[in-house]
Amino acid sequence: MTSATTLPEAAPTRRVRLEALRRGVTPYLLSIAGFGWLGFFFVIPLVSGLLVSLMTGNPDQGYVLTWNWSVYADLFTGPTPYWLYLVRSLTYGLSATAFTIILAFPVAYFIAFRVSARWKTTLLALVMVTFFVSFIIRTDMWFYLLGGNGPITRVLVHLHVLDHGQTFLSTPGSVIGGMVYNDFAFMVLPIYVAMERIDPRLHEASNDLFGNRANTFFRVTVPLTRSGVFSGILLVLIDTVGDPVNSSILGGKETYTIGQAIQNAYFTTQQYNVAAALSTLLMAILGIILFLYARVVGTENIEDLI
Amino acid sequence: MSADDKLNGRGALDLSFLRGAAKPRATGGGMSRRNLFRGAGAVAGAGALASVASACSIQGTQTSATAADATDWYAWWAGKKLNGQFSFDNWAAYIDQDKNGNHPSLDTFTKKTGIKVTYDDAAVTDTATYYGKIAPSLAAGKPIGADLFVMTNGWEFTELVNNGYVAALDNKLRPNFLRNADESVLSPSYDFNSTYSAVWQSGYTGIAYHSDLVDGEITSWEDLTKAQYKNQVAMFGSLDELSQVGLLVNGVTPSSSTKSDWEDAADWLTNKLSPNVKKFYDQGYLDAFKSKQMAITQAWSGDILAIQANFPKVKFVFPEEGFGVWHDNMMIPVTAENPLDAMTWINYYYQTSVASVIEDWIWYKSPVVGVREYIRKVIDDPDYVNSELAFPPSDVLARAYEYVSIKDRTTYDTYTSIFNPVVQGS
Amino acid sequence: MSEAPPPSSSEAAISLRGVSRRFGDAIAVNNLELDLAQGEFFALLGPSGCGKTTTLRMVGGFELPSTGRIYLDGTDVTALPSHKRDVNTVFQSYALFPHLTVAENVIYGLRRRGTAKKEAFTRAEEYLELVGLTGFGKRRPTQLSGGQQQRVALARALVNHPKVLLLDEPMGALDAQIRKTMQTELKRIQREVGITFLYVTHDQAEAMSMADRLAVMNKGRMEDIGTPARVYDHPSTAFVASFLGSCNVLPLGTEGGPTTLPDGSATLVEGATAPATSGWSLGVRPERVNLAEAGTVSGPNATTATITDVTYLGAVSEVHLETAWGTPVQVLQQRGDAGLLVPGRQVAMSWKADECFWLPPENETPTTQEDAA
Repeated sequence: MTSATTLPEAAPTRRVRLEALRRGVTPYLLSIAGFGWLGFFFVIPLVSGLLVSLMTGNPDQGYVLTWNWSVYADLFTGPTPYWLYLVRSLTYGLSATAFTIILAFPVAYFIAFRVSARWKTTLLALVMVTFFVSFIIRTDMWFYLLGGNGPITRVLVHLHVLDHGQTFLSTPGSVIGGMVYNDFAFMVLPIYVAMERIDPRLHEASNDLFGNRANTFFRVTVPLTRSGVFSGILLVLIDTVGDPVNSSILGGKETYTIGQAIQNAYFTTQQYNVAAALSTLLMAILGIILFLYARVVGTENIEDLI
Repeated sequence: MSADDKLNGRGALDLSFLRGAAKPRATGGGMSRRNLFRGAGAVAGAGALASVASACSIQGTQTSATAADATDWYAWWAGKKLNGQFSFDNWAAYIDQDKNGNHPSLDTFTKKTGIKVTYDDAAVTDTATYYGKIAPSLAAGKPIGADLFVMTNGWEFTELVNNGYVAALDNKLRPNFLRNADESVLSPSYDFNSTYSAVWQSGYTGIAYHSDLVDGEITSWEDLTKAQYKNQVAMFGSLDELSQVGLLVNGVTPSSSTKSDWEDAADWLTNKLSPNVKKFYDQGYLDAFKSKQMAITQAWSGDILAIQANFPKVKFVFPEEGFGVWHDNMMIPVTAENPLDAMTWINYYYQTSVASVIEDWIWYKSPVVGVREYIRKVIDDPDYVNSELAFPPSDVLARAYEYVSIKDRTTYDTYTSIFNPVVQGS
Repeated sequence: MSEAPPPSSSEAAISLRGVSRRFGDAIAVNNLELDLAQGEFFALLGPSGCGKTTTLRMVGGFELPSTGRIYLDGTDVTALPSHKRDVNTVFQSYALFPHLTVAENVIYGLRRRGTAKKEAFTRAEEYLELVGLTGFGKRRPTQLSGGQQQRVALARALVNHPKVLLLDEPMGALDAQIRKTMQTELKRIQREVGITFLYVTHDQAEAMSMADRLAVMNKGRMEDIGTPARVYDHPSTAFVASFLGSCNVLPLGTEGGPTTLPDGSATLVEGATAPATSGWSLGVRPERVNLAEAGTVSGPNATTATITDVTYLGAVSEVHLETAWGTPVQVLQQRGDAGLLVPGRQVAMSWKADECFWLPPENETPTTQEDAA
């Protein structure tokens, strides 16, 4: 009798266990695609970039992995002032990022809070419309706009802001300006998304608790938009620090950037290991900056702000 | 920056729309060229990285060269047959074009030979990038999609030959070339007996300036170092274009220069010329020059010839110390699927009547004899025929020099390590 | 029927005088007159869309009235922005600042008014204690349960000692169990702090259990105002009657005089002036109706009906009947006489004269009772 009663029970128990296992495993299985994507497009290039940087050789004889770590030291001790290009790129990237935040924040705020739903779509489309045109063409357009015969220069010359023959081109300002223009939407969109997510009642709650507009903006809107600003910084900083295009089109003799140096090492001098070392170094520096930034901002200890 | 960036205006981009009023021609579209510049670079980069992921080394490209050396090219060509089609990669706006975007010369060729041409005028945006794009396929022994492409003489040209990526051309298959090629291109310094190439176009690199913006006359490279031209000079970022200036100023013939000549040249470029340079251009020098962002620029003859109608104050100078002459060459990759069809086109092109029609659109310098006469008499385009920019007098031509000629990797590394810092600056 | 007269506007915590609010063509609030006494727990009750939340938002300063004036402690605050009004709000979804800790949420208002940080935190701790959240100050709102979040919202508002506390359906997101506890809690806290509460809800049981007085709104108008008992027992309109629980509405004046039921039975309401015109109805709550053997009851406020259905609910039985002229009637019987409550049987039903009420004619008077409850 006992065996007869236990046997039928054993089967469902096993099935339940299997079911539990299946449920436990499924999310992991599903995440494989995501990790695979990440691995394929992020980790592999990163690791292979590092490996190539540690190789020696040339394109004709081929490159062999010799664990040549000295390539990194040579970047700073060699005749080419890579450290200068690096510092310059970081300066350009950080300035461009700062300016994009300053410009994008009011725009995102306006679209998120001051515009009816019908106009939001239109305005967002306007922000994104620049993406319908190729990045290089957009940059070229600025080349024309800022150039000697361009409308901007003409007006400024007419207003005696600029001397005849003077332009904004070939200066750090024009390079940073191009970066700000090109990456503007990268900052507006994440900030806008973060603002959209803010419950409008939080603004009312702040008003209700005797907060005027400025209080509400700085103590509610700005802190709650931080995630968007962070995403924007990620997108813009990474894009601008490594960018060779703005500096080569809008820049001059003294705006040579690390992005141009990487391109040059790859195409002109064909030193793949140097190109890879520069890329790896750039990624590492950006990684450290963003990690530190995330640590500082990410800690939610903001009592001091109040 | 890149080894050979004749990016802007080598083709008749500006020519096409500036002269458009007189002879409507579709533009090549400089935009698309630059657009491609970036994409191609990314593709090449990804390709290299992917190959690393598979094994912890990058295979050298010269391994296939041994096989190429051993090839019996007569037998190779004898084994090929006509397939009735071939594809042709070229620079933008570098062939005749009607207002519908068709290329009459290619259409006529198809009518006469039955060979269809797939012409890609956006394929080549600068030599280094194009080389980066095709080299992985060539190294793997795979077709690159093109049976014929145009490559400027320079390091990439040398690499293509050294690595055995291009087919030696059987002279039996190009009798027109032997008959009609200009003496200067029959056996150029970079390709003995034109074994691997046939010139498509040639041009000169000199100085252009806005005479209304510049005090005095400019006649030499040395003039560019005058204090009054500070920040008004643009130079090419291409090392070949740049190095020859330093060498010519020092009285050295670029093609036979040595390492110490290079160091002296780089010294002059860095210390004498560079302080006056506003920018080293990879691209867009002509647009910048036209919009008067700088008064003086290193320039290609055909570009300036094309814009002079609209900019009568712009002058082109063949500098006293000498000036560069370069050649864009047709080459056939060994992996081509339709080499015989491509070869048929090379032979066809080297007829005066054919080359003249194309030349009257491009306005550079044809490698085919009799083109000037043909355009004068048959096509009747005096603007071009009478231009000294297209046809310098013989005393000027005596000062024309080929690029520095580099035959091996070690020399190239030395060369770039000397001249690259000039462009990169500090 | 006896109740305190409404406070005069000079001593009222809040006075609304002829307040209306239009949104385009729609009138959300129509000519509202309202006075809240100091320290009063006042509930504004009504179905969704009746204008109660709009009224609250106008008091809070989040909406401007289209016409009319709003007085706070006798001062006209109609045009004052919300951050300058001595009024605080507990929002429906609490609207706690997610980026601030509980304590930081609570001191927000104090800090905006210039209280020193240290003192503010001390006061915050007191009020967290008041709402039973001692030691929760360092947590984030997202780490709290719905009920706890509501207490934080309450503390955040009360800590400022507002003249009036506005509560916008604060229990809406809580489950029934916590709701019960919170109702008691809220009442206790209100008594303790002595602040005037304006409590908006659509839940009549909640309103009646907590409020000193309540007002029922419908379609932008206030239909009745008074103590919960008065409004329940003697609602002024059929809508109010049915909104505050079930109500049987019996037509009058179709036969005989204006107070006669269709079968000719007379009706009588104590302490009220009998209607002079036809079209009125008589309202009586299901629990106020007595059932007896047919023919045993006579006099006014009695008639006969046929039982259609009986549902036994434990403490009571729900009896469905139909009058002779066809009006369905619902009766709650406490002591079920098993022999009497049989479907199909004719019974006598009666009610006392002080437990029924006249209802004025209205075109849209609801005739069913249960769905409004």
